[in-house]
Amino acid sequence: MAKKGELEACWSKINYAFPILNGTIFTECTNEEYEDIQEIVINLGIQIKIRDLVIIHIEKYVRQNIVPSFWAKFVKSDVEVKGFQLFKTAINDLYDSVTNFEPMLRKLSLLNSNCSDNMPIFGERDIILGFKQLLRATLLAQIPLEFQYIIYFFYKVSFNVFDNEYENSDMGEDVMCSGCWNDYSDCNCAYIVKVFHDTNRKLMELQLLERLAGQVLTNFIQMRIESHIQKLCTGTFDVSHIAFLENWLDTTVMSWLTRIYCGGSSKPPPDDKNVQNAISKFKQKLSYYLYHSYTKLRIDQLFNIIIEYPDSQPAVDDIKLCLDKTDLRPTLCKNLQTALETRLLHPGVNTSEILTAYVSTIRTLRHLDPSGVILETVTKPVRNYLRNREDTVRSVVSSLTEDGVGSELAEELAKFAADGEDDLEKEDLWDEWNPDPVDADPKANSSDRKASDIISMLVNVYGSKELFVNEYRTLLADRLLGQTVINTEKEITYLELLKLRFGESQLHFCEVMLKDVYDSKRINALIHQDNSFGDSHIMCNGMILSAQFWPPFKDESLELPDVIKQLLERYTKCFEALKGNRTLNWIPHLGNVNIEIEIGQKKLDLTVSPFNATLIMHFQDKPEWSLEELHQVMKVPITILRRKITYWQSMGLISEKSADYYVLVDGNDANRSNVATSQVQEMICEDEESESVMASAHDQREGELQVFWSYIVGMLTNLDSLPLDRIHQMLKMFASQAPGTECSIQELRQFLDTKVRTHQLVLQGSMYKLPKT
Amino acid sequence: MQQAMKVTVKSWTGVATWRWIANDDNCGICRMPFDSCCPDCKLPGDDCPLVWGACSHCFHIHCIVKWLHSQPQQQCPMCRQDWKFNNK
Amino acid sequence: MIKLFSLKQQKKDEEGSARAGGSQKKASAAQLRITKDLNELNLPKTCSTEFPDPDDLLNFKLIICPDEGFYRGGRFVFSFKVGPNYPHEPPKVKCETAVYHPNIDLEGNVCLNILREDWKPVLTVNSIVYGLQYLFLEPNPEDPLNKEAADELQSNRRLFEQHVQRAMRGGYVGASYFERCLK
Repeated sequence: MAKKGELEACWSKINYAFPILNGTIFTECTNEEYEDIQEIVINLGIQIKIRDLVIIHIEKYVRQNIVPSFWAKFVKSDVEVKGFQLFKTAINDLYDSVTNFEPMLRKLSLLNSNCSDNMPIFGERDIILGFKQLLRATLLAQIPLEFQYIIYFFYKVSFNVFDNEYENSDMGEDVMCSGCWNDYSDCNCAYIVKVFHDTNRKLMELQLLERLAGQVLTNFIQMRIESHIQKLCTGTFDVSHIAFLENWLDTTVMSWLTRIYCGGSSKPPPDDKNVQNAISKFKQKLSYYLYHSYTKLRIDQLFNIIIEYPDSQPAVDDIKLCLDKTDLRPTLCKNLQTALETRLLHPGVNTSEILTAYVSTIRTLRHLDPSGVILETVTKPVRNYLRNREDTVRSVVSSLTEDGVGSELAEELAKFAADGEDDLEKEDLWDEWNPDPVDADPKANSSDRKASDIISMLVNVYGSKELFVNEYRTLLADRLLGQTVINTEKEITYLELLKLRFGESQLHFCEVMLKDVYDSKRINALIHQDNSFGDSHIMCNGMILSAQFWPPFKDESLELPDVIKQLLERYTKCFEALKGNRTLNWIPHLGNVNIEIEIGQKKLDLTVSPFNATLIMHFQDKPEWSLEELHQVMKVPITILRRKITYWQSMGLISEKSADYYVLVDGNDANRSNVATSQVQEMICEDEESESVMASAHDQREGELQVFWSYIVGMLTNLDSLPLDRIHQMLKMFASQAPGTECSIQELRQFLDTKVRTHQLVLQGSMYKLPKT
Repeated sequence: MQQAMKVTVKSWTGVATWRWIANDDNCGICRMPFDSCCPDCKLPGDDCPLVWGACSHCFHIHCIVKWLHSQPQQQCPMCRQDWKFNNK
Repeated sequence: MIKLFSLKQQKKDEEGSARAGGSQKKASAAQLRITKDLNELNLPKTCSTEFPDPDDLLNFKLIICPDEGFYRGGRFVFSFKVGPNYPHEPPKVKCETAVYHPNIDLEGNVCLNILREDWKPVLTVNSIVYGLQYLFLEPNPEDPLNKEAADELQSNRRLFEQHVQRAMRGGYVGASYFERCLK
């Protein structure tokens, strides 16, 4: 048993070897001296106790001295460079303290190797590793709230230097270095780079880089990526940015990051798998973030991209590429749908504009997602909206047959005719088959989604092509009757295109209409040769229509002047002679008249409607008329007279002297009247009320549905009461092939509901029946 | 002193519909309007004319000819009198 | 293999035709005409029509339930087959209900002048309906298809009426069995 004095000597020797037991680090104890001391400890058999004691003191020292003094430097500062310096100092000091520990740790390792208890030191077998573990744990346990500020500044300052090196190499004329914001004369960049690498190397050695700086770095780089993308991609859609962005990430960002991890070297050490893994993991994270941010930006711009399509195709290609790498499909659908709804689907936008945007959307999304699923989802509200607009059909039909700018649909129609045969070959590409995306509606047929072209998507807005064909017929009728010179060839070309699209039988009516126009020219020529027609100084032409094939005309009355009536009668006689057993019924208010008016020194050459011609001819015979008198001779309702006479008032030839009493304007006045200047003439001479001469589609439809009424009454008389679908089914059996007699169940419901409102029907539960008489 | 206005009509283009002068609206055989065409035709008028029998009944020419061809005796389908084309 | 191809080809053809013109291929003359006939059909209250396939107007059934005469209370179904040559040929009309009738035989053939020698294209389905209805009101022994019934009608009206009743209730008349056809 050792004496008390001996023990005290031993204890002071142990204290000499491990000064930490007294709260300091430095000792002059050499390795030889230590070996002797260790000998003593082992002989006493207290090596485990001493080791544990030392470790407890190290832990206490780290906790009470090193870590607090480290964190003390992490203050919130507004000055970037100050933050940079603070962080540098903090890391340097920490590194130095750790270095100072080394001799003692080596001794502790030796001691530990003589302990046979295999106790792990802070989870590690090795004392040095255990110490680092201890340091990290203690650091993180005391982490202050605002520690990220100076780290952020540190990396920001250094990234700026790097970014500057790669991107702004040609900014020689500036006085200021855009890397460190100092004058070029005392540019700090080289120093910053050196400090930066030094600090990072130390962090790596301490294994603190990812713990301390990882989050800050990630946030920082993400912010840089975002702002870089914003800077690069605002407003332009005609360049693809993906390759450029990938390159930027690879060169600027990744090489900077590599230098951080590798203490300044631009390449990771080939034997250090850990660093390589860390870098490649970081890169994956950042690439994803790059695609994600870029796609999000493009999705926000998608509406504009669509409007500019196909000029914006590079942007669409980018989105297409990125959608595969990100999970933004649902976001895209939702955002685009909202954009369409807020920017397009409101009363402030013309139907034709909506249609243009819709067509553009179809094209863009077709390109973006050939499966058609996104298109189907996104454009549903557009279709619903268009269905409720009254002039949709008319807009579609007129843009189908329009030429010149903005008639994308006309092009589409021609394209359909041109590449009609290509479809068949596509079917054989079975090896290019792809399954539908997961968000596809499993109820819908995928080939339908892909196959339907733009025009049928538009037609499908209404669900019935008959409506379209009918509207086209009305438009064609208006055009044929409204023009003095008819370009039959052009109309025939369109008709042929439409026939390819909608089928022959649907457009049979239009064919007859065009033939009527063509035949009329021939008949006119023949009649003009006929001597019995007489050589009237008025050139009389007829437009001879096959009534069964034209849409119904608006019913209007007009009594023509006698001289014209006689003229038309003579024409009829000649026609009857020409075409045995056939005669003509004139529709007096239709047609056009070329007249010359001489008044004062003025001469007007006008093409006007029969109504206007008749009116002015009456004023030639008698300069003053009351509305009532005009009504007597022209058989036109007073309200219409009053409305239409404004044409001559605007020409300055007739004025309203007193209420409903009109007089011819004095010739001299007419000369002075500035309304009838030549400019205005040109404008108005083309005149003609631009309203349709055809009964409106709505009126027509009403009439057509009325046909069903007698059947419905018959059915209900025999069968007492019937539900809607039964009535619909039974009517279907009687629906003939003529256009318009097809009736959708919704339409029928509306029709029946009007009958219920007018008490011609009774609705009980879901059964319709006739009211009891 | 009021100066007279002179209106000269240089040309008048009127719009008319043509119709057959017949004692009925529809062809008794195909039931289509006379002014339309028979079911086998696409264009009315010259391409699908009417013919009258001596009995004064008239039909689309294609309809009556088809009927007469299928019959041993040439009778008007309306009145069963012998059919004779009336070239009035 | 070859068969598969022809099927595929056929499918393409169908698609091709569906593409231009859709289902509305031009209706045949017979279809146009029968549509008009049916539109103008003015059925007496004893008659009704039935369309097993609503899209096929060329094949349908007429049901006659006479409310007077020998056959009062019976329900007789006739099938109409309208051929492609309609109206130049009459529809083929058969009685699907077994009936003891001088002018209808046990196979359902109907003897009605306008369905045979007196047909003319100006006649309509309506004319035939009235003709058939008339047969039930006034059976015509002059021109029989069921000679036994015709003779009976001429020789013993009461016996004829009893036999008609028995047939309609379901039972034997002579060697022939009749299904019940009372309403």
